[in-house]
Amino acid sequence: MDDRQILGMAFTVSTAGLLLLFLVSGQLQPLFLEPSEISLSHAGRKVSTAGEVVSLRFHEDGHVFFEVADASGGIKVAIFQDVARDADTGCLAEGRRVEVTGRVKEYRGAPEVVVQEPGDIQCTS
Amino acid sequence: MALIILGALAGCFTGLLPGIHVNNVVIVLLSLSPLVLSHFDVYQVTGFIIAMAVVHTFVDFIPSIFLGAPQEDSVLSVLPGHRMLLAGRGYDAVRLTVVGGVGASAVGIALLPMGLALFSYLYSVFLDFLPWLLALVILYMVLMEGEPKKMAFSLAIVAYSGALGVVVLDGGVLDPAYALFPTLTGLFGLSTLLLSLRARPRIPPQHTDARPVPARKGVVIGAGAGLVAGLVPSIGTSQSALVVQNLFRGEGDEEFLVALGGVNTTETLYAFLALYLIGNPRSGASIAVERMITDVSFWDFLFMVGVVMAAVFPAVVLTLGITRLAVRGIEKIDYPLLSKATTVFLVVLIGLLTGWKGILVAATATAIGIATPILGVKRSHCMGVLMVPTILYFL
Repeated sequence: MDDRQILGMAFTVSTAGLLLLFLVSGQLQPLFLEPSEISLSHAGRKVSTAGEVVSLRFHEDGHVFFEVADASGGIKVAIFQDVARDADTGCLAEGRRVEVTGRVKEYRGAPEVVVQEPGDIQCTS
Repeated sequence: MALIILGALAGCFTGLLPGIHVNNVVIVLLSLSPLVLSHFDVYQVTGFIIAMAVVHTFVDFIPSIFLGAPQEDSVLSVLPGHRMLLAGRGYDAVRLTVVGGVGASAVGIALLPMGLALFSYLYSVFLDFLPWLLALVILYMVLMEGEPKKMAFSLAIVAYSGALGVVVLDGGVLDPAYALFPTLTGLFGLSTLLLSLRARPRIPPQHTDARPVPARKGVVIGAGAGLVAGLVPSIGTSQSALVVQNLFRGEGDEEFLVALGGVNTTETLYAFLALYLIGNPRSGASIAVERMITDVSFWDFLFMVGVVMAAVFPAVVLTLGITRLAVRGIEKIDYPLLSKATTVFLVVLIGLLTGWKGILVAATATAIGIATPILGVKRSHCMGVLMVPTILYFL
C-alpha cells in the first residue's frame, strides 16, 4: 500500500465522518432541565427550560434579562441585543410562562442561560 | 471543524513530545473548563479533545521509532521500529502503523453495531476471566522462550518489572499523572538508547518507497485488540498489544507494526462506546468528554464516532508529513550523538516532571530493560510492569 492509497482510504473514512457529523448535528437536541436543575456542571451545553418569568428587566441597550422560575427554584436568562432585536421579547411579562433554549454560561460564579437564536424563546401562556 | 483541526495540531504536539500525553492537555482543559466553555460550545470542545486523541495515536509512533522514546501505547513499536530504521526503512515502519490505524478504524466502525449489541455480555465475561487471561498470556510468553534457563530469566524479568509496577503504580511513589513516563521510558526507551550507544549504529540512507505488505491480518487483529482495550477495564493498549505481539510471533516486524497502529486508534473509538453504554470512561479523553456531556445520548455517541472518523485524514497527512521531515533530518544526523542527546533530554524531562524519585524509578527500569538482551530474553517480558498490577487488582 503506497502513500496515495493510504491517503485515499483515510480521505474516505474522514469524508464519511464529516457526513455523519452533518447528519448528527441536526439531532443533537438541547438537554431539557427544570430551572433549578441547571448548574455550572452544564456550562457550555445547550439546554432548554420552562417556567414563569420573574425579575424582568429591559436594558436601555436592547438586552433583556429575567429569571425563569418554578416552585423548586430559578435560573437567570440573558438575551443580548443582537438576538433580542429579532426575538419575540414583546410577549415577555412577569408571571407569564416561557420556554427558553440557550447555552449555559457562568456569570459571577452562577449559571446563566444565554439565548443564542431569536426563535429560542417562546411564551406559552 | 476549525476546532477539529486545532485538536489535530494539539495531537501532533502531544504525540511528538515524549512524556506529554493527551491526558496532560485534558487536565489543563478541565481545570479551565468554566473559562473555555464560556467561549465555546461543549461539542466544539469535545471535538477538539477527540481529534487530539485520535491524531496522538498516529503521531506518537514517530518518536518511538526514530528516537526510541515511546509512550504507553507505542511502547512495543520501539524494537521492531528501530530494526527497520537501521535497515533504512524508518519511514516504512511509521507508514505501517498508519496503515494499521486507518484500516482498523474502518474495521472498528464496521464492527460498532456488533459492539452495541454484545457489549454488556462481553463486558461481564471479560471481567470474570481477566486476571486468568493475563496470567495465561504471561505463562505463554515465558514458555515461548523454549530453554529452561531462558524461561527462568524471563520469569525473573516479569517478577522484577511487575514489582516495579506495583511500587510505582499502586504505591503512590510518583504523581499518578506521570508515573508511567519514567517507568516505560526506562524499560523500553533509555535501555534501548544506551544499548544502541554501545553498538554505535550508523543510520543508513532511508527509503520512502512502499513495499507490499500483507496488512489484512494485522488490521483485523489490531482492531480486535483495540476493541478489547477500549471496552475492558484495566486492559490498556499496551496489554492488548502484548497479546497481539504473541499472535505475530515469528511473522516479522511489518505486520506486527500494522496491528500496533490498529490497536491504538480502535481503542480510542471503543472507549467512547464504553462511555455511552455503561457510563464508564476508559481513557483520559473519554473522561473529559463525560465531564463535558453529562448525559451521553445515542446522538452524542454518533457525534463522537463522526469526529474520530473525520480526524483520520488529518492524522495521516500530519504523520506521513512529519515522518518525511524526520527521515530527511535523521540521515544527516550523527546517530550516536542523537542517542546521547535524546538520553539527556529524557532524563532531564523525567527529572522536571517527576523529580528525583522519577529518576530513581527510571534508573531501576532502565537496569531491568538492559538486563533482557544481556540475559538473552525478550524485552516484552518487561510488560509485567502493567500486567502484574492489573492481575493483582482483579484477584
